[in-house]
Amino acid sequence: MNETLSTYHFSKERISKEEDLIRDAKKDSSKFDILYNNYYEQIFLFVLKRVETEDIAADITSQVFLKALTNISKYKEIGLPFGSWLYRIARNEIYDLFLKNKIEMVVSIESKGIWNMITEIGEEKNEEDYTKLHAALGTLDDDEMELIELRFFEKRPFKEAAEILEITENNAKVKTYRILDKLKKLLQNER
Amino acid sequence: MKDKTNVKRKLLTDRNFPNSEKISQRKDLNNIQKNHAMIKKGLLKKALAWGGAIAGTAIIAAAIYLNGITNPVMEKPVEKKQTVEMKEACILPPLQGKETPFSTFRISVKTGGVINYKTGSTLTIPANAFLSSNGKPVSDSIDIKYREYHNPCDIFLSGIPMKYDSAGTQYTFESAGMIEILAFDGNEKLKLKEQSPIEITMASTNDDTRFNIYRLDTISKNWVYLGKDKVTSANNNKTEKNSLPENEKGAPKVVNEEELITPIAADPKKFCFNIGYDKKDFPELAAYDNVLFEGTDNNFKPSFYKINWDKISLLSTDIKGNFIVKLKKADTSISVNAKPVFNKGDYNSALAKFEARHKQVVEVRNRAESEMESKLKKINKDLSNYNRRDFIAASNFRVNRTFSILVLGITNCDNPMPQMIPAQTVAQQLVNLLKQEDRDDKQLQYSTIYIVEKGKNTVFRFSKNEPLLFNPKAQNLIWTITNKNEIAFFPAIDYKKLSLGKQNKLRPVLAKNQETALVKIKTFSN
Repeated sequence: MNETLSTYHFSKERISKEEDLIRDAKKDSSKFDILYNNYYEQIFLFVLKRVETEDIAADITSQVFLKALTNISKYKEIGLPFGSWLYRIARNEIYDLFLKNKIEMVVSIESKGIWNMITEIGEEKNEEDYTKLHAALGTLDDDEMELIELRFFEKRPFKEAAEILEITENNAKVKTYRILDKLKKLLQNER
Repeated sequence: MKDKTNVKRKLLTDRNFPNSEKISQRKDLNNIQKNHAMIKKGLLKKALAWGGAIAGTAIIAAAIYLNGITNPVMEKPVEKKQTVEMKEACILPPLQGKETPFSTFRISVKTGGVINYKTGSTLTIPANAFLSSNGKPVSDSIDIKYREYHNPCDIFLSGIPMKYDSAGTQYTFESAGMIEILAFDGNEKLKLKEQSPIEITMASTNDDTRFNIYRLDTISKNWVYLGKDKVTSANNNKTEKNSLPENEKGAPKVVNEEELITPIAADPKKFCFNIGYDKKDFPELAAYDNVLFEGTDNNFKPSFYKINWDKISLLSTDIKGNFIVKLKKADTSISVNAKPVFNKGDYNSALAKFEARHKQVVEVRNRAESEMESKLKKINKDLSNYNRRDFIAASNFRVNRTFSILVLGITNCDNPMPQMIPAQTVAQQLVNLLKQEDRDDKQLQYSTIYIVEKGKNTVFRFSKNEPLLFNPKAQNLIWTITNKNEIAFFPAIDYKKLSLGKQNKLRPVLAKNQETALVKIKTFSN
């Protein structure tokens, strides 16, 4: 499958430079602006893909950065981009919102992603399978859906998806292939 | 991560998302900074109690602040209470007296100096760097006690915790070398003056730059991140190797048994096909000729055989004996799971090759083990007087890792590895089996299980109540210490053969003596 070049993964040098920025922000909160500007767009889009409106996404994104700023003194560099921490905060904020308000969470699906999945599970591309796979996605549980979202609809590399979900890269791969197998069986059973 | 149970979902297809410019208009850092300032002053909490005096984002922010305690990214407050018991609980050497011994160096406080350690490491101590524990000046001549930990056996014997908590996430440290430095004026323990860092250039076998420097805080019982070290080539004329057995020193190279694929005869009822591949890329098949592939799922249709594919590629998988055949034409790509099989005529020949290779593997392995044992005997004529220096000198210190410390104690050059979550079911099963064995044999009681994974410089420690986490695909050495201070090893586990309900006998076997066991642990992790 095609993978878009992620803006999230950095070289070691860039991670090291980012660690300097974090240290500066720990000392002086006004220096948080570079981190904020670097990550605002990707965190906003990550949130927006999981909520219905841009207003809600903007509110949650503000919460994510406020929380990050409030807790940055406790942040420990572990050689991962600062973004991995922001994604974790964002995931928690999104689930908090939905659990407290008992509203529906949004899954933003892309047709291209569905076609890629059909290819990945070894089926021939046709409209019938597309419709069935679209429907089958609704049967996945939350963890499965989240992995499919990151991998196929946001086109993130396994490494990145794994870091966001706090699992190992290998585990992300194994889980993804299991989900694809499950979807394949669902498609075949409906024939 | 929050519990996601009961979150409802709505699927929206091909949504339009705003562009960068539009997203940028949503930025509101000033408001975040204002709320942050209010949180710091505690005003936001009050504002919330007054019932909506602050609108919009500020109220949301207050909610975050108040709920923050449940968020896993928040670190638990560090308990400042310091007791001897807490210190002791942090570092627990499993076999008293077996830890790596300190080397003692006498230095002049006034002038400072450079200490050369036997591994090739150097410590540069600045002048007038020490104070007594109550802040008073110290005598001119003081003792520096220093030691290093370079391999899983050192780490095991040290009792130093290798778990690391970062923002609520648990990691296990893989080490590229760990040092411990203390200073004494007579019997009084000293501390470093502020702004008097000691520069350590530590010899290391690992040249990877992904490692960070951490200091063990024995009070909070966690590691404190200090920064990055500088890695440089050792390029030193190091001590001649007083060699432990190494492959490159003439010991026979062990053929990897994992590479052998057991030949399977083709099922005459099933369709099979051949595929061109480079034998160099598939050592597990290289010994065989005329390998065919048989589809193991329903993806492969005989009609595919007639299509002139643009690209056909063969890929290995994590499952031994299972391959993926990828067929690609234009924008269509099909993946087929397949296993290697042999026609009747080729099967017998393949089987003969397999058996001959297997025999060779066993012979080579036995010979290697025998040579290793005799070399070990030669090196360690008297195991009770096992010479650590020989072991260290035999290690391959390829690089120097340079960093500074401002606090005496234990400093580690580490890479945090995520907790392993590979074979939960198998792991849980193993725990049950171990416990069962414990119940069967009251004479052999133990509380902690230690695991070393081949190639990883760390020790995983588990209490019997914890689920064991390990990598079933790696070679693992698993052992425990009995209540009589004996070391008992669990046999190598064939994970595939473990199944629930079966009475697998995984009886830990007592090592002949502690020294023999320690040599086994050392050689395994080499």
